[in-house]
Amino acid sequence: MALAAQSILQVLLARLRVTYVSEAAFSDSDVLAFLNDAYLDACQATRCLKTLTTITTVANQREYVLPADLDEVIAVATNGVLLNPVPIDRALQDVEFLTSAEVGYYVYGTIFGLVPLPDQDGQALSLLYSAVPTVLTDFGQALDARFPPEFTDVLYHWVRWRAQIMAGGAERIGSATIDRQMYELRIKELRRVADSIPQTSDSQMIHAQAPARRLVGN
Amino acid sequence: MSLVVTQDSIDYINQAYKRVCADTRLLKKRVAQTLTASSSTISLLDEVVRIEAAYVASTPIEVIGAYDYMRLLSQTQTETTNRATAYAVIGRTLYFWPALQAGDVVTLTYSYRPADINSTTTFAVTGMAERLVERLASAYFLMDDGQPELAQRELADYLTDMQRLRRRDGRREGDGGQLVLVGRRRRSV
Repeated sequence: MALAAQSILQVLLARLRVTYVSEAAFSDSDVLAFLNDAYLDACQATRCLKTLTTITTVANQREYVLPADLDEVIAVATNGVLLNPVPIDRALQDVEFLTSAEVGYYVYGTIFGLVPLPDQDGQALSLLYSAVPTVLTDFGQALDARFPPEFTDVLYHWVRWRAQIMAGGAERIGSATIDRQMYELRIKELRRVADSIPQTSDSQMIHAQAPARRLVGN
Repeated sequence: MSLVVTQDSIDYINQAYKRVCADTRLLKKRVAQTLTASSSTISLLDEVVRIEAAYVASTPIEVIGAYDYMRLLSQTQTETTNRATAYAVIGRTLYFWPALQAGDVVTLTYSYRPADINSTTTFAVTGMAERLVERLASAYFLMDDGQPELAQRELADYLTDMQRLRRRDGRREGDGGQLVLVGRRRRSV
């Protein structure tokens, strides 16, 4: 009989069912809910679903709606410079700037705002953000292409950690701790993979840009 | 005595195989593509793990970070050359600056993930890498079998040997093993 290849989530489910995440204690929908939590946590912690988009200004319009899948704004650039994030308790302060060029941005909820107020139409801003993943609805669904398949064990360790904690029992503490440690270790590796500049050669000295400076409110 | 092969064992092996190849970046290939229309982006194939080198015609182009690319993209001054001189990788897209023109030949060398194996195919890696696949698959099995401490020990040994293999592969390709700065962390290669 020919062996049937399985999707990556089906493989994870089969592995989870071997021990600790039994079908008697956790239904398939429970496991899917755990996987969604793990998927979201991993993507948020590592910012691996990076997306570049453009916002076009409208004269005298300060605020714009962010993309629906946005989790966190990473950087904004216009006129060849990166904009500084501005605290929202300073964003609307009536301050005179030497030029009318945008110098900062603020974010609250799904709103993106510019400082100072744009005075021209059609100015393009590059917005780099990390996205939230699509919710998983069945085990045949593929993960986001930006999530490296070799890091799916991140999801596996998270689910095992949560299942063991929920099941309880002193004998599970050690094993649950190991799964949590494995999860954290792989998250660090995924963060490094997602953040580092892809190198053309390991022998080159490459300086990563410093993260954008943040204005600290008084 | 026949060898019993189950889908479960193949799944363990495939997961380990993909991870070993991605961690060590042993499998590499070079692909040339001629653009039929001008574009500033190219989508990466799912198999791509990391871009190792990029050329437009015979000119190597430099990799830059996302922030630098955004600064270049958003500037208002016009480019003095119509030849791409830099690229950035954001998500699964390659962004070139300046934009590529129709007829440009882009050559990418990249490390890639192998296709899944089945009960009849063989690994594309041999030697130490093949042994790493075996050990990693064993670690996964131990983890599932309720022996997390042993699995953790096996995984720690895998990480040590994997890094050794990657350094050896890098030396073979002419890498001098110099320091690379990533963010604020210094890392020996």
